[in-house]
Amino acid sequence: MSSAELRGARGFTLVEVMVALVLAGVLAGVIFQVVRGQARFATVQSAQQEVQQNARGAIEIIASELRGVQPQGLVETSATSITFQLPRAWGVSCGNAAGGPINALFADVADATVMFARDAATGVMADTTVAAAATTTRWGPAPGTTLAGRAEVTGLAVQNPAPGVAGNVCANIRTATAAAGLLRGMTISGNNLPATTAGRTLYLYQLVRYDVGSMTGAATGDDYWIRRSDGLPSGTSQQPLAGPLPRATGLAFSYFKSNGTEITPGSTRADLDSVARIGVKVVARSRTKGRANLVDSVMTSVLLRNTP
Amino acid sequence: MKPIRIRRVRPTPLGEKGIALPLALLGLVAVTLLVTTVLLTSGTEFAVSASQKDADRSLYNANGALESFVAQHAQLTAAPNARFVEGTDSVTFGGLKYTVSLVRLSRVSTETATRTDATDTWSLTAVPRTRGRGVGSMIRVTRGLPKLTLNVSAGATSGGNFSVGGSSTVSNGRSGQVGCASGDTVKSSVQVTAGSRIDVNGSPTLEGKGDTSTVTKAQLMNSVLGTNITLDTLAKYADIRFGARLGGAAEWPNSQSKGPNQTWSLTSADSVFNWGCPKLDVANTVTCDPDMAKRFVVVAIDATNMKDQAGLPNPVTINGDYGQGMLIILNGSLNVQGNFIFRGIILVDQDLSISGGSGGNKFAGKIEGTVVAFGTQSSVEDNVNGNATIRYNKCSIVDAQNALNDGRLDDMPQVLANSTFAWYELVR
Repeated sequence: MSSAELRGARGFTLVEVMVALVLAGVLAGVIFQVVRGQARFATVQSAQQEVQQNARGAIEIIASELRGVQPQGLVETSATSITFQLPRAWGVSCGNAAGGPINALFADVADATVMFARDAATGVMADTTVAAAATTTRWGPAPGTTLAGRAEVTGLAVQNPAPGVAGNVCANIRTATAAAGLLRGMTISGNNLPATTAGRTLYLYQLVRYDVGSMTGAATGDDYWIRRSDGLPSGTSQQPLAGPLPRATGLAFSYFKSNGTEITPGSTRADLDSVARIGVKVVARSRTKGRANLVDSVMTSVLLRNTP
Repeated sequence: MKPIRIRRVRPTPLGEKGIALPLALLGLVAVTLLVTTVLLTSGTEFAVSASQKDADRSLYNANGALESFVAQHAQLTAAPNARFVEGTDSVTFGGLKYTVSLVRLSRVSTETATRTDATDTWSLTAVPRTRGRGVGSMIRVTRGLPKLTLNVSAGATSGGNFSVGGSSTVSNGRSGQVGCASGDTVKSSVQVTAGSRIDVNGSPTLEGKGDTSTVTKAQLMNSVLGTNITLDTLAKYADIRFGARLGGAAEWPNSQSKGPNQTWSLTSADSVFNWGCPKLDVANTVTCDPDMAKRFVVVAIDATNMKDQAGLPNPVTINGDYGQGMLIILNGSLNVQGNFIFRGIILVDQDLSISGGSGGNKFAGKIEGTVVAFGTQSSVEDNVNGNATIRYNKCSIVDAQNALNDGRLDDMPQVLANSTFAWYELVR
């Protein structure tokens, strides 16, 4: 190429190159910011999902159990915890003396293995009236008192022969056999079993408690979790349900009568027995540290289905 | 020397010289990422919300189905479909079909002189036929009816002639009664219809007079059971039925020549041969299961198909064993042999024949209660031979009537005693 040709070839001036570099840098910066923001957005969204799902899961489980709490089954209430009697089986007693064993007939339902959960936290409560579904005299631990003397089921045995068959111990309340899968006769043995008369409703319940616990044992506010336990003084059978929570008040309960009046937690037995609706609020925190450390809350209101 | 030519770089055909295209592509990628993430997040959130909403709806629908079913069966009329019937049923709620399972957990009856009232506790579960949550609960219903009572005036009542022979005993309950206080006896040991006779052979014992009633044979059923009530009416309420005509599972096993409790185990799942145990009430040496002693049943046996070996009509035959409650023989006769022990009421459409047996050393009489044989031919005699015993016993009659009325309760309209209770989630 001749020098004339080279002079005629077009190129970039230094200024053009500089401007182009600056523009490219700005654009790269913008794109980088967009991508970075997007990544952060995705992280936040993921954390949001996690928090929401945790909170919703916890709410759903708590609400599900509270919805079926047995009549007058609230044992202890506070703004951040609740202990109640969760029915595991509903049946009819065939009559027995104090101390048991109690022979009873139960509906044989598909999840009977769950219904008849057997452990030391299972108690027995007997309805003292036949005419009314409501229990006029409750049997069970009073709120805030020791659980000593509470009935404990230590043995559950299927009756043999079965209900309706000659020799069945519940022939006084049922003489006919039932179609398979509908009826189950059980003999309950244990400690401090109450006396019942034939035809009385019988509840096998499990004591359940929800509260907030620190997984590290230190009140640092760093590792609060909703825990589900058996509510016994020994504090056994604790299970972490959902978390982490941002604070010890991340689980909150409010209590209402059927007329909407709010009841102060931990009040009198009569007040507890009149609770018809419980508000549950879960404030959860994401496990991700840093800028995606989100806090979100979910609330629900549970109508107690078995409240008289 | 030929000069070297350097090829000139020519511009691209379309003249692209900037970075617009890469920038646009990068922007597009960024926007795509943004939109995708937003859609993904929204979709997940929506799915979570929808799932929770569906779960809640499923629960409330199941509860609605249960309550709807109860409401449909809560009528106070005697419409057959207004009653709970054990087994499974279906109900549609919220556009979904639910299977409802019902079982009566208990019946607690209250008896007065004129009425039988009962409180039944039922368990109900409602489960969607497709996927979803199910719920269960209990409910109490009450039923009541005026008592049906038999009008009998003797230990043995016959529509035709009645023959008492051997060393048998027919008593009006003057002595040896079990379970009843004195003073509840009737005057007659045997009562026959107008125009019939009582034949006494050998050296039987008759406590109370042999009585001929003014009631004719044609009037006897109405007189004993009540106006327009027949044995078929009573059989409808039987706990145990034999014979296809009655809807029984099988014919009475005449060929077995056994009683109800002899051939089959008392703990058998087949309870049609469990007629209760009257022995405990008479302080005998054999102890009944206490719950067997509480069991009073109404047994109806259709004799239509009972034949002997020659294929000729044959009476229903019971040989030995025991039971208590009410025994109804329709369309035929009853032949009781051996040490059959029965506490309650025996009603026979045609003729009753009791023969043989010592009654055992455990029981003062074979039949403790009353027997009524309506007879179809006055020439046929009801024979009581050997040392068999028929003794009027009011308590046994009342217990048998209570068993009958308990069965009739199922046909009475049900009244809900309260709303559903003992509610629980079936599937979590």
